[in-house]
Amino acid sequence: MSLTIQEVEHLAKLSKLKLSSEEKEKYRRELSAILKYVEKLQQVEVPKESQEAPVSDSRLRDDEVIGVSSQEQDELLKLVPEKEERLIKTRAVFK
Amino acid sequence: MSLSYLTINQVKQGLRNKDFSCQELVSYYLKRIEANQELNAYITVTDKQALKQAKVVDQKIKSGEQLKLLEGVPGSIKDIILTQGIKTTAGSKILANYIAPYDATVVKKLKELGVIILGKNNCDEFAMGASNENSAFGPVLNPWDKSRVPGGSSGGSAVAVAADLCTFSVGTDTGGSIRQPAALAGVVGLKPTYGQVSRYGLIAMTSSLDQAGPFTRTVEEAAQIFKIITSYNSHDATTITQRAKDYSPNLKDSIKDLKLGVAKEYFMKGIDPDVKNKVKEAIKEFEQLGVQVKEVSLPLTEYSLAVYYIIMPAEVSSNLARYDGIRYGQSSQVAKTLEELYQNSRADGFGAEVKRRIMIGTYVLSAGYQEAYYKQARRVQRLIQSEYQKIFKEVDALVTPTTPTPAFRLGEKLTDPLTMYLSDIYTVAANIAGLCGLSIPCGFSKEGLPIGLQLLGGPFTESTILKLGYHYQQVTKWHEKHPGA
Repeated sequence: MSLTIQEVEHLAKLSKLKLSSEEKEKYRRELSAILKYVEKLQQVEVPKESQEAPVSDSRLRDDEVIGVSSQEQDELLKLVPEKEERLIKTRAVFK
Repeated sequence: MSLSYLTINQVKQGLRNKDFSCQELVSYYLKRIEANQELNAYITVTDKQALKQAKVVDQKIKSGEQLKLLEGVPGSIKDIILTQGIKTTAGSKILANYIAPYDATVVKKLKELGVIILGKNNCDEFAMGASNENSAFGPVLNPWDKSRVPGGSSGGSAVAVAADLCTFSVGTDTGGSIRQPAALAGVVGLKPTYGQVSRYGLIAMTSSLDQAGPFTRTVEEAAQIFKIITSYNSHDATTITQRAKDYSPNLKDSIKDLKLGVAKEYFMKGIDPDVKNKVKEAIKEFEQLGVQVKEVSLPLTEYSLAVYYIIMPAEVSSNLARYDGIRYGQSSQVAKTLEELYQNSRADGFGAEVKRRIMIGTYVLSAGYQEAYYKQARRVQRLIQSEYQKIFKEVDALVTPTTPTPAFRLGEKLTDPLTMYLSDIYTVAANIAGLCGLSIPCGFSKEGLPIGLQLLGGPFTESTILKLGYHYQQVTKWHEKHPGA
């Protein structure tokens, strides 16, 4: 599968990655080569209805509130790049 | 008493017998780390904390207090594993100043038993790589030949153990990232079966494959660390509750009449002749130990890497979506809109390999392609799992080379990503088929570079591969050879 520049731009948009035009061409080449390699799986005869590998059996904990102490909150807030008091600040979500 | 290349037991004995103090031992490692800074095995060295802890240990010894199981044993941790209060970067610019708010379960378990953490080991960014050249903090050098790579992604951990910069290290393995650098650096590396060791506190790369495991100089020590870090953990729902009866192996048990499979597909073209010869010699060694060697065939082997390079990037694209520059990590100062914040923070913070894998993952999961790529990979994964299941009814373990070649030169495989991916050709099967794998030194190439042997076991059969490895190390001395100076 050889990707076009437009396809790379589409992937970059979905991945939320800004790419320069040199990077777009570089990744276009590299991603095309990788996809070409993994396409060999198409050769393996596996009927579409056959099962996928089982997902590991994971048990979920009970749906009850455990809570976070204000000390833990402080630890986490220390890591926030932009904040106002105890609120995490970001750019406007709606235009 | 020489502090050089001590085993865990020698450290324990030495401290209890007062042959040396804990402060002396920690200082010894700190000096070695500093003298070998060029190797770049550590991103962060926690010298002050380590010496402070060592002082406490010495006081305990002086007052005759009972010591914990690994009290005073100095270890290091791959920087993709969270260590509370200590910078944890995952080898990435995007987390360059991230201070972990909690300890990973594996770290907690080791600290509870008195391990002293010397620092955080350099690694490929977000565990993506097979040479430790993808770190935002510079490559790690192979102590056997500094113009060569130590392997990856846990290159720093492997080198720290190989160059005597700690007693043991803990790394992670998703497609070979413990076993491959262990082989290239001439040390022991164990990838436990998925579900043995809690992933709580491991910065997620591929959630269905990631597994933490030990780097040590001997199999015996790998078994010691494995025993400590393996257990059910409520913070990781994929850890198993039912433990195999003998998961804490009696290494000295006989291996006579165990059946060892040699899969012909693992000796395909592209394998270095020295690697092939050393592994074949090692197989003869096992025969002399009374093990039955049997040729087997695993025809789906050639598809393992492709399965891995679809499933892994798919999960990576999902797991790395969290790096949005909002709650933690580097954030673009110049971004005006939310979209720009995401795009710029991630473009600036992630390296090329990370971006490649995110985009491949995005592609194979995208509408119109998911069926042909991701779902097909999951179906082939099931076939591969069944193939290994059948084989492990005929044999108790498989023996393969760990890598197709010894350590390659820095920069050699950077122009074409695929050539780098091919370094994992012998290791990825264990991850996608849910097996356990152990790499042990089995000789040297003509240039004096380490060669690793891989023992693969069926799910939860670490006791078998550890036993085999232990016995091999009783009759060979490869693991006692160390890089010069």
